[in-house]
Amino acid sequence: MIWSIAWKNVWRNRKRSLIVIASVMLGTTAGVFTTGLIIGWVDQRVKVVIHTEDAHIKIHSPAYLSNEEISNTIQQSDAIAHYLDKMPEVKAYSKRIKLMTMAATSRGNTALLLQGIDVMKEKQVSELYTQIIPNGGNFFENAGSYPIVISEKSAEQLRIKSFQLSESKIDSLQKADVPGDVLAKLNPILNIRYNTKNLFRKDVEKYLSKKEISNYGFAINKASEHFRLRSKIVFTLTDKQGELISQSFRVCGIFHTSNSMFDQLNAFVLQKDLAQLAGMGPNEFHEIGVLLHDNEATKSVQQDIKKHFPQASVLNWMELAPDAGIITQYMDLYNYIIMGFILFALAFGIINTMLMAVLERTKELGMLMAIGMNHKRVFNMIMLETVFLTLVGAVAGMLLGWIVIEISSRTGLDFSSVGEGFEAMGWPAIVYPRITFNYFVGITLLVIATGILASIIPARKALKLNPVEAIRTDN
Amino acid sequence: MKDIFKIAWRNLWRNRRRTTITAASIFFAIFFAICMRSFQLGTYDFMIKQLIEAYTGYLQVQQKDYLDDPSIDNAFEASPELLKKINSDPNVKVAVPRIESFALASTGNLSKGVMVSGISPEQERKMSNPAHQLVRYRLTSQKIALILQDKSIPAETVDKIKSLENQSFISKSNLMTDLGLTPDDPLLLDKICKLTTMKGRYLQADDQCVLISDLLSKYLKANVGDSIVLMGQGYQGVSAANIYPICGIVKLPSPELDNKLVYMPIDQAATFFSLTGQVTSIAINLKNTDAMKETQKRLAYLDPVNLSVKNWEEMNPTLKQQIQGDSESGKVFLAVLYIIIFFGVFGTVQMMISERWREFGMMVAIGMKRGKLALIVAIEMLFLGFIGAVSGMLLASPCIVIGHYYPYTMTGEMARMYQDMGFAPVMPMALFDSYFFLQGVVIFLMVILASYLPIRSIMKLNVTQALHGN
Amino acid sequence: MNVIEIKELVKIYSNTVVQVTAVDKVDLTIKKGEFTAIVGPSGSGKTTLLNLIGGLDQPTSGQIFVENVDITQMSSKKLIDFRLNNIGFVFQSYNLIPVLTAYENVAFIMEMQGASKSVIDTRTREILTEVGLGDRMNSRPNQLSGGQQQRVAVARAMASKPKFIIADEPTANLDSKSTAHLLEMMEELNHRENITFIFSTHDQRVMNKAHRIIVLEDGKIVKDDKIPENQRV
Repeated sequence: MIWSIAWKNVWRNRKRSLIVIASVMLGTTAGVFTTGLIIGWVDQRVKVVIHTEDAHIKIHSPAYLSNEEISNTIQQSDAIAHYLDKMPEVKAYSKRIKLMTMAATSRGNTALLLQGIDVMKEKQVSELYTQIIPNGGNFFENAGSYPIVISEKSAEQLRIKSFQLSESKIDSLQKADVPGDVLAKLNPILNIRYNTKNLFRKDVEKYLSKKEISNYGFAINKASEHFRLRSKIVFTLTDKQGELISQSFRVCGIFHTSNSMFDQLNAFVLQKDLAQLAGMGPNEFHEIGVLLHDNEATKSVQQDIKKHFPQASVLNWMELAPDAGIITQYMDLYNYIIMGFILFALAFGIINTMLMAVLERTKELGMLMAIGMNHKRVFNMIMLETVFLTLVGAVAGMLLGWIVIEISSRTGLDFSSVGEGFEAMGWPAIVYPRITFNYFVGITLLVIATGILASIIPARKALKLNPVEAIRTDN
Repeated sequence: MKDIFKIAWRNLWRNRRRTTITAASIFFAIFFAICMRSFQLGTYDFMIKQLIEAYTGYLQVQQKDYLDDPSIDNAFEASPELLKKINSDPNVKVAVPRIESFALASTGNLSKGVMVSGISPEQERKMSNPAHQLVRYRLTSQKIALILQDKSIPAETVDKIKSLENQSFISKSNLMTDLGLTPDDPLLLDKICKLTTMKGRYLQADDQCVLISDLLSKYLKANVGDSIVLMGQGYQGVSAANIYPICGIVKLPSPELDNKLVYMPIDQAATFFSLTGQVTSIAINLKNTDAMKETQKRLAYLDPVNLSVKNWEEMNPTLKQQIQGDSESGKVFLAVLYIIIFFGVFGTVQMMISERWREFGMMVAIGMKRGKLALIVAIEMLFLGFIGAVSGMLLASPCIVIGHYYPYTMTGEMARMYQDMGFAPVMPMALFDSYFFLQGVVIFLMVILASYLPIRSIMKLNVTQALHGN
Repeated sequence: MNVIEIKELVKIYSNTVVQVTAVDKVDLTIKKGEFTAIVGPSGSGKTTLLNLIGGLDQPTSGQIFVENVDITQMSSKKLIDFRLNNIGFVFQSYNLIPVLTAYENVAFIMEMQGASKSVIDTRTREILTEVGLGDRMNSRPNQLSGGQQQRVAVARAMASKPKFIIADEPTANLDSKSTAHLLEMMEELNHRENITFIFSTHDQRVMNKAHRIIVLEDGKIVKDDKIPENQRV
């Protein structure tokens, strides 16, 4: 019955209790939402790491890791491939040649890591081919000779990207609800090609007001992007013999991932082209990327491959992308620490409220102790009341937090305004928050623990009461 | 009037526990807010210092199209008069000319994209000061094996030595600190230094050799005395290719720079890129960084037609966004914290007032004006906020001082993760600045806000109701 | 066996300034079934004496035996348990838990004693009916009159099957009608179930009903009279 008493006591002073409940609710919602946000972010990053950058496992020759020389190819790559074919956990694998090169167009240059791939196999392992930008060509569909797929960032650096408004672009903007009069103002710059985003923007700023730019600028910018597909890029590289070779490739497609560092570095060409240029044999590869059916099988498959091919270096995605690996490891802890922090801040208010509740009831408590309620029961009564008080707010907060997460996970949360900063570190700018059930369990446990700890001070105060003095009436 | 304060102060301590707990909650909020902001701002400052002050410069004079199109074709003439005018600006600490462009570096079978930085060696000492960053000692695995042939070295030092494999050091004292040795132990240190000394020297203006950065030298397996081939694109599309001996290795504090920088004398760079009398930028560090934007405007007048002056935020918007994003998220977290404390204070004031309602009724009955009563309670709350805020600030102060001069350095996996992303694994705290007092002010305002409604209810106190209690 | 046996009981309160002897060498015996009132002016020590008998306070010296068990030697922890199982209390006010109904208030004490659910249910209904509140079992204290509240308190005190019930000024807050009802009820219980009642009171009406009156003055018993039935009111 102590449970019943404690629960009913919570509602004795409705106003006061509601203040605490409201604050606990707010804090819990904040904590739940933050957790959902972080999990969503990590989800995205891991997904990108596994499905675009690193696959689950990568195999190299150990020499290649310390010295990316062209000759450090994987030993027994054939045997490894056969073994992978037979493993049920393996969904697909892709063999790659990798070469560091210098890329140049008449207007710009940059260093690029060329990856010579088998297109079909690569599509099974990496989702990069889905990230070709609109109007950005395709992923080796209509090859031609020496095709290459580069990133949007590389296209900018090589000045293959330009900005231009055409009639059709204006039409598409109108369809996207940009007002006709605003678009009409842009007539003077129709069909003029700008080489850089800034040059384009400067001219746009001449004709549009600040407000119009803040409302429609992004859309106008995006629509005016123009990629000179089929442009030539000249690549300089050292082949297996140490000779300097030059070859021009034609841009076939342009991609954009959420990881600028990846984008800046990588470009993709046909394996046969690169092998032939570099003078490499048919079974010489620098890297094998392996995709599994199930994320959880990563470590066991890694050990398995290592056991059978001890001379090869076998790394999993957590080792290859330590930023994602570490965060995944520590994410739970991090989330609980945030929640714990919030609960700590809330504890002050809870303690104060319960103290007041105890002090208001000295006579009642004295009576209870007089008729035989022992210390343990008194403590439990107060502890339960504190826990209930806190739980009501926490449950309401978890519910609200869950609702907010559900809603925001449909549309995703857009951090594009600081997006470049995130993408520079490899993290996506649009997040889909998500939370799992065990977090709610964990938070509930934390809340209960907070309630118990917070009840110590008021409970001690109650236990120190002397029944004789407490029930003394003044007459 | 003084009486009111005395009464208010004494009233606070009538219920010691409640006062203490509420003050503690305010203390906690401020202490945490200050420490967190200090960490954040300190880290940003550090990142800016490492990337910007130590290399890019707070301002750069460039050809006006250079920022959009940083190709060597957008170089400009840097006459001695121009440099003199820039240097004579009151806020300019140092201004150095540079030729910077991109090239492919290779040694044997290894190649990498690098940033070639043509500098004026003596002038650059005042800017990024590569001379200071010369690697003097490197603990390669062979050298370590040699050192460990001496069996008299204590076990913990042996472990330390092993853990520093492949690390480079720019000074004896750094090496000493990392090895955990003291100056009273010179023999061992000297011996290690002797064994691990790197040849290498700084650049001179007429040199034909280059300095390469530490991580780059490890990647290319290139040492002092080896040669490195550079290939790139010069002015107006002329191809640039040459081979240079390495005369020294420098270790740059920012890993992002450390894995791609090649310094060469500016005259060599001009030859390499086929430039005559032109530079790509004049990098500038300032005496007072708060006046950056004004200085930028001033310098722009020097040649508004051909040149423009850019500040680091324009040159590195990514860094700016990273800082912004992190700062905003920190502010949001603090906002949540403050709101929680707000509820706490609100509840406390409410409780306090309702507990003393009878007493208030009595005081009004015997003649005290309601306004005065409300004022007393308001002052009590102000005192409360004050105590919490001041104690929070007082206790946070030594923490941020320590955190600033002895910053927290990460180790292990976390450290490597940060380095992979291009940041040094250090989290220094910022010293006193506006944020420090801002937190105090915010909390103070919040206490006032939280107390407002409950205190206002005093003005509507009904004496008979109050005396009879509810 | 006597229900209560008190030998040379002394209670002295001292602070830095003054020493007060509240109970001064009291010897007292109370037998089962007594309906006894302890009376005396304020400061006579009757509250202190009652607190000592009820195990709420420890004496300075002397012994109190409750059915031959010396409660003066018990730790305060043990005393709590002892009170729960052996002593019933009816206070002047604040007897009941405000958030519980009459039924729950009575059941509560039995639950603390560890009785089974069915026993608790039967007995609670029985007792509440006995005190005349059979139809108000689900009312909360604030829905009951002062007299009714005190009756619930008596029911609760009885429910725990105590060796005796201590009532400290139980009628002080009641009007004469409720007082009469309450006293009648308690006398009835005393008669039927042979429950020992010890009152402390100022109230003449209570004294009129008492079977034995002990007068305290300055901590000493100055009068101890048995009132024969025909002299009671």
